[in-house]
Amino acid sequence: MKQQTTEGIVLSRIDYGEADRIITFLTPEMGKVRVIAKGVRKQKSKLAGGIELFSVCTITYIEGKSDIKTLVSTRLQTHYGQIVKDIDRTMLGYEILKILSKLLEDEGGQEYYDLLLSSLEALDNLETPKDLAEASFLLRLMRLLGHLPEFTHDIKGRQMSSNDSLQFSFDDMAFFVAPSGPFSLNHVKLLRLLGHNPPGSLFSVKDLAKYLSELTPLVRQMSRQYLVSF
Amino acid sequence: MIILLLEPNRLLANQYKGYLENEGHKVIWKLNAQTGIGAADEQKPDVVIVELLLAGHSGVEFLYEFRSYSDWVNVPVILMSSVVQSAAGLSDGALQELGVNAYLYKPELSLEQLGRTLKLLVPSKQKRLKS
Amino acid sequence: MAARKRRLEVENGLLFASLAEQVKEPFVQIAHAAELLRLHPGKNELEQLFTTITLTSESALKLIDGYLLNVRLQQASELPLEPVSLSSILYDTAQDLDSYARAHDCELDLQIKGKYGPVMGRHDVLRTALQSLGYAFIEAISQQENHSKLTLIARRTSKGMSTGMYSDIDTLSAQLFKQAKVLKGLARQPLSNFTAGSGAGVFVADALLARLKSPMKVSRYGGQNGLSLTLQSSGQLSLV
Repeated sequence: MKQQTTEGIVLSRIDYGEADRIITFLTPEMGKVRVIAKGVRKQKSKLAGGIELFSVCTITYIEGKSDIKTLVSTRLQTHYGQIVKDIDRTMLGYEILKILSKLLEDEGGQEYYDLLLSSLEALDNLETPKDLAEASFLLRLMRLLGHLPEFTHDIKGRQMSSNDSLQFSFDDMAFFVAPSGPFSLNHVKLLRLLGHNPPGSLFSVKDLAKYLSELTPLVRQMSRQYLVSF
Repeated sequence: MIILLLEPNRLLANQYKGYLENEGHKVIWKLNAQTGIGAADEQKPDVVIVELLLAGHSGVEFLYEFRSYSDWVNVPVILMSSVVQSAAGLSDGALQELGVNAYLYKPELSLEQLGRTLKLLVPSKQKRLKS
Repeated sequence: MAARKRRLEVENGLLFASLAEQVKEPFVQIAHAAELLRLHPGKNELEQLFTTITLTSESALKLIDGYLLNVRLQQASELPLEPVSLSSILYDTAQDLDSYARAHDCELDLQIKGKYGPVMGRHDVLRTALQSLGYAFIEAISQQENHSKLTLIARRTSKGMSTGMYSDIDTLSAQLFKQAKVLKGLARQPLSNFTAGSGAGVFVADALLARLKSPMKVSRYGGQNGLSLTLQSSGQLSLV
């Protein structure tokens, strides 16, 4: 039987039978890969069933006839251990894994793997604001799924200017000019940056914390239109 | 009822244990997430009381592991801490995902309130255990 | 000057946040002890209440004192050092920590290796810092399933007089400590592999000892990991 080795990040684990678990990994080449880990439940001696969450592992498995492969071995490459030092980040990390686990069926591949990797890296760096990691993940995911809203023109197709006060229309998924709108062109520019760049490249944005605190609820609301509830 | 208590502070743990055992419950007290999983494996609890902040793996990590086993999916869980729920970044949705039945803020929690919460969660297991 | 002041304000804010989280539990313990007395009035419960109040309020107050001392010392640009007896400070610290350690099922082991003269330091800073550190270590040790003892050591090294606290907790590492100092007050559990909670006692001790220009570092002794600092011997003759 053919053995394969690949890098992977654990997305989820479920029980199977009396002593086994099915573990779903996200891999760069093959997207979601489901493997059966035999006998890991016989002894609940290690948290995470011996395979750490928030980690990059090298996994070796045997291809079988069915969709689920058989896990032969795992080796830990990188463990993002800083995430669990902070409950907020832990919860965000789990949410990210849950969203990708639910959303990705046949999609997958390098782009989604890179998205997950850069998101875990951002969360693991405790100097990265959590809001930044969250907003960046959601917007980049929306872009990969083809749902990223129009951020270059307003609802009427006009280019927005720095004098405009803006509001966001969830029906049209675009900004429009409104006299008492809470957003400005700077907010829109940051959204564009967030949707196309990993968090680490955005530290130098001026007044980042202020804009993030104002944009995060908007980004969450946007993501609820297309992604699982967050 | 059989209560699995995960509490890293020994003085507090003795207080909770003392009160709950006086109320007729059997309390299995463990200090951290790993031994908590092991204890649940040895004897399935009727309810779990877990502190959010544990040394090593946190209460959240414990619950993710605990809930991933089908035998324990329906065991009621009380999560408690000296951290306010909102400050811990735990939304109601997140608590629901973790299967947390109640989040109790320790500075505002009396032992009697803890007892009443247990009664509400596991009403069928109120019979006193014989010592 | 303004930059230094701003930096200290931020530092103090983070340290205070860590301390504030830490002192909640002593109050909770006292409230529960009082409740238990109300529910089951008896001599044992009364005794328990007194013990709980004494121990928990003592550790919380020492932590607060340590924080305030640190803030006061920041007013001085330079802290004058004086000859102090390290061994007597350690003896006193061990005595201060003894009942707290016993209440947490933690054994204290004091090891003062050899005879030596005074060292340059500050009695109030060293005593307060070592107490804060001791409380934090005892709590961390008591959270381990197979906990053992806390060792307080003073010994001569090539760099000066080293003093520190050591235990069997092998997850305390230089990297963990370095990261934790950055994260205090920001992350929930900056020392999560060492202790549950905020670990404020470690950071208060660290801030105080930094005033003496004797920063704490992770070190290893007798097969155990711990935190230690090095002080220079005083040029004065010691009168025995």
